[in-house]
Amino acid sequence: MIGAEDSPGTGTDDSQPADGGEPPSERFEDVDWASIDADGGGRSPLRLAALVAAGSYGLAVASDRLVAGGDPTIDVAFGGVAFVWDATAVDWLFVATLSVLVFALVPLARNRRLVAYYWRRFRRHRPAVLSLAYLLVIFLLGTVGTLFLDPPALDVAAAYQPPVFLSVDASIPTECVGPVVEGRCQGTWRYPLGTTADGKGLLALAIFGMRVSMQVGLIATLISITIATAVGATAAYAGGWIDEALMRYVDIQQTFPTFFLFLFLAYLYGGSLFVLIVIFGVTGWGGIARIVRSEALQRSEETYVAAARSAGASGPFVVWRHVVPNVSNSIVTAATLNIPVLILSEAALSFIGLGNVTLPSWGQTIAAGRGDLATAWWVSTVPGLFLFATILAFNFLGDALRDALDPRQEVGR
Amino acid sequence: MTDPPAAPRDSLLHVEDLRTRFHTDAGTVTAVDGISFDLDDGETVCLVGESGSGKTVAAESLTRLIDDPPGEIVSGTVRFDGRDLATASEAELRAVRGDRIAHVFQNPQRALNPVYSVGWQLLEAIQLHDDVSKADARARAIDLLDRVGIPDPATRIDDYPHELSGGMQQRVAIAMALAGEPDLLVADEPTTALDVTIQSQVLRLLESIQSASGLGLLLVTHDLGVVAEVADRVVVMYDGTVMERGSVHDVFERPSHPYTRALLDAIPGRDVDLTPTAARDVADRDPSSATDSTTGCRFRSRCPHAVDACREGDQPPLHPTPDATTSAPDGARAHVAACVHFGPDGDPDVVVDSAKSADSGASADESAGGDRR
Amino acid sequence: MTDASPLFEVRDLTKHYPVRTGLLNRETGQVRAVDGIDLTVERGEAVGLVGESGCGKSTAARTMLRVEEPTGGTIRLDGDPVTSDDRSRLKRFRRRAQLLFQDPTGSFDPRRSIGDSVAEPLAIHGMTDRARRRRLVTSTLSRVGLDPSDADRYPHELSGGEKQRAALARALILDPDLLVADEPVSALDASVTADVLALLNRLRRELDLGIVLVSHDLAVVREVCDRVAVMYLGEIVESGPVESVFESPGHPYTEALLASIPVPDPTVERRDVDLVGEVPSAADPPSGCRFHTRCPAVIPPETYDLDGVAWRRVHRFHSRLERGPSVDLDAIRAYAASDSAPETAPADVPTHAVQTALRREFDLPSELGDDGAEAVLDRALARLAAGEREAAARLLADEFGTVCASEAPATHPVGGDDRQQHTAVCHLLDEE
Repeated sequence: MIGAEDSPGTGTDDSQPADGGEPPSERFEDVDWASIDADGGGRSPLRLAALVAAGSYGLAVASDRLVAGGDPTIDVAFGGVAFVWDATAVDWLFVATLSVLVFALVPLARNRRLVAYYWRRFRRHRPAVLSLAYLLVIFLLGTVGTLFLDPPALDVAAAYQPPVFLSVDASIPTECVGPVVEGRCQGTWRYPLGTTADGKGLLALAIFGMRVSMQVGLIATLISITIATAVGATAAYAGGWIDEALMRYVDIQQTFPTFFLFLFLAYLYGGSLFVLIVIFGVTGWGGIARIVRSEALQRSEETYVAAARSAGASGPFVVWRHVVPNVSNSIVTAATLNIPVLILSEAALSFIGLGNVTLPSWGQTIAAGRGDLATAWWVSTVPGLFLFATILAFNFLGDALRDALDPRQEVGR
Repeated sequence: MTDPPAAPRDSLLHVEDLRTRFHTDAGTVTAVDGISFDLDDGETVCLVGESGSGKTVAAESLTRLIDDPPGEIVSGTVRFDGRDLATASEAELRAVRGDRIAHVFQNPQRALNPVYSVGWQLLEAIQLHDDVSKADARARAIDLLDRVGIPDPATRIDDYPHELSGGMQQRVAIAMALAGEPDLLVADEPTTALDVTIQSQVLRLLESIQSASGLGLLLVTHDLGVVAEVADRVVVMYDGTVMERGSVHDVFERPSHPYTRALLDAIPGRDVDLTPTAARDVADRDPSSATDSTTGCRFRSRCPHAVDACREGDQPPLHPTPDATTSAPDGARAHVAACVHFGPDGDPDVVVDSAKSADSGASADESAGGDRR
Repeated sequence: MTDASPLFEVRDLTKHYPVRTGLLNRETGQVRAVDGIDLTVERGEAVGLVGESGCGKSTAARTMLRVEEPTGGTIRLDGDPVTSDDRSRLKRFRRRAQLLFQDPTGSFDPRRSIGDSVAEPLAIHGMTDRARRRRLVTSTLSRVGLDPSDADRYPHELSGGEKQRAALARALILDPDLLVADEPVSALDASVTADVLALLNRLRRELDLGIVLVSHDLAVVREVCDRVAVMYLGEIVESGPVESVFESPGHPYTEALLASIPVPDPTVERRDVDLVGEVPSAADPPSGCRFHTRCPAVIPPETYDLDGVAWRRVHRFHSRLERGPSVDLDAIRAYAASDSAPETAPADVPTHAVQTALRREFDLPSELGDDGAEAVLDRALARLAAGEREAAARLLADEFGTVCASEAPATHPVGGDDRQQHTAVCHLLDEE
């Protein structure tokens, strides 16, 4: 509270003593605009950080592809723990996605009070808060957890172990790891969720499946919303024939059979998660682009856009600073509801055997267990439950976000 | 209007201690906190206040137009023509709404359905009220449109609401309200969205309708100019309570409550301060932002005449003002103000005298304003 | 200023919007929202621009700041023409001339803090130093009567008056020389209005700011402005010093506007204004004086002896036939049928009944008071009843033509005293 130089609102006091001329209370009359015009302006620290991040990312990808070649990207050992990570193309995409998400958090951190306001509104939806917690766990297990866990390993001797606290007829597992009580094989803590026909632990499978699901959902959705936002905002702000051309392209793209394109590519090159993600990412943005466009059209009519324009702001500045942030609620909601669709699609494709068979995705595991439903029901059921819970959680989250971020309710008390 | 000590039963509308609350996430807001007033046949009463004062909620609480939940009418009496609407059933209320008490809103779109023509909607309103043939109803609809000043009514009756200007839409909304031949018209800021020229036309229209049919008019407005032109009596509201009540002459010529004085003072063109300026800077904090009332007078923090007694108890009761010469000394039509300075232990001169010189200046300015037109 | 050129000068400003219709989107007409207005603002001077909604005053405000491209005319700031050809010059103009909007709520991005929004013009004009922007925001907020800590609040946490103060801070932070305020107080409560106007006045004196105040509220203009221009349908009909214009208005429109203001004094009897109807469409403005269709003082023809009310109704009827929508004769017949003796089919309604219904429809008196005029009107009504609308209009034009409808009026001085003189555009002033 430095500038207590003014008694507000009264029509009587004329000139205030200007505190001796030196800052901290600089007055707008004192600004020398000629020098600022001559200066040209620099870059903000955030933009620099983004440039640095993008540059180092590019270098890392290049070194992995060109230098490391087939060797693991990271192979270090500290203490007794070895840390080996051979990044795939999907992993690199995932790293890029997560970096973008980190930068998306910066405006949130800057506007903590606004975030707190939205959080209070979001918090009213109990199921959504639970869903968010569940999804955070899934996300952390899938991203960080899988770095430190051993991938599920083949162990024919431990096939068909039941989950802990449950039991099956002792004839079903090849060899019961736990105790056999009254002819029934008891589950053990070694395989808390049981094992598959290959003796892979279902808990480990589920966790590695989380990674696949998160990769599919997040990467493809980020690709989609990036394109959708760019196209939608451009169409809305530019208007005229650009708008017309972009939107007609969206019409055409939405009639395009993505599924058959994927079938075709899977037939040519084999099922690949990378191809799946890219195809869903670059073809699935039409609906979101429409939403962004119609919202952006409304936002462009707002007075604050007119205010920025009359202050001399350029078109891109207005789009980036006002239009996009104000349609972000729709983008976030659409993205949240887009993720489960993608996860489900990946699971479906894996289930019918069109995915990468070496990847422990949930769909893959469900498919692997479908022949054993009568005897080892848990093989399909465990990943199925995870899939179900994840889809449900994303839907709860999306609905709650839609309510919490709805700008129409913002004006109220 | 011949019997001055009017028993409350005799008035068309008698509102006593009406309280309406809203349950919001941030807590309970008492939007209307115990207001009382009376309205007679052929009389115009204005509910005046700034945004957030609860005047609209008060008007909509009369026939329970507020959404419940989150709104709730907690207590109070709304006696209309001898019947208590506050305890009436929803079916009884439906019979009263539109038929006996009609509403006109600030935004005429609220009364008009965009997908039906004006005539269709008027016909429906007429036929709901009276069992008449379609041709008769149409003739009556044209008469109504003519009465509210729609040019070429026989041609315009088939227009859709969007084909009419805002002023015309408001006229149609008034025609719809009149279709049921009500006894009481509740008009909530009916001219706020309109130009001054159109406002003056609509106000004249309301006046002529009133003098022709003798209906009671409850006008909710923030515009003291409008009040001065049409009101018989004035109820000044602030933060859900009545601050001052009296005949329009009493309130404008001898404003008593410091809030009323501040309001009058704020009218552009009246350059003379009735209130010291120190009271002004807090003036535009949103009164509705306070979730619930604290103790004492609600205007205390903005009031230049606040004393320790203002902090205590509830809002002071409505004390009669000493100079209420033209009205009855007590009862519903007295000039009263909810201020401790007008109470038994108070000294009204604290408020009225502090600006006595300014006051005379103000009236001089007013007459000058009149000449200038 | 030493040089002779005024701070801000607008000459012959026009803004026409094309009207496109049909499948081919062909331009079929033009809405003449602003049709050649002149305006001069000196340093430290406040000029009001008043009129009803639809008169083009808001468009004029946006066009003179080149927020919308004008169709024609010149705009000069300090004598330098402002064009959109030179981007850096236009940007400098944007810094020196600011716009203040009517709706304080809509003019703030709900997702940005007040401080952010107020600082935005600084960022747009290249001030990259965040801390310096913050300092300027802090000092500017306190100068408009807000607390510096309000910078961290969000629009929904401020009252309307506080937001309008913040909007004023945003408009002033670039230290402009000219402020165009478009209805700055019409969305505010009365007590807040007074405060914001007082603030505007104080800042004007403090900063020697030129102000264009666009408002429908003459009381607001009277409170703030030195000079005023009254606009009707894209044209300025009267302009001059506020006292002179408001005390001795020369144009009937100004007079009607002034008479429409409610006076907050119950002892003052309201003067009846015969200003009916609403602003006609700017796509098809009336010929001659644009106000003649609504004018309470439209000049009567000399051939007939009609009293004022009757003459104006006939004139309005005439204008209605010339310009209004088509007359639905079937509806009028049906109405006449339901009104007359029972069981008359609309087709069998006698002509005189149709004419009575027409008189009623168009608000015509049953007796004009002049036999000759009465006969003409009867003939016109008969032609109209026969479906010959154009013939009826032609007859009325021949018989009841007025100079107001046929010729555009010239600009005349009003008021004797030299210092108090102003100008009005009206045929009533022709003789003098």
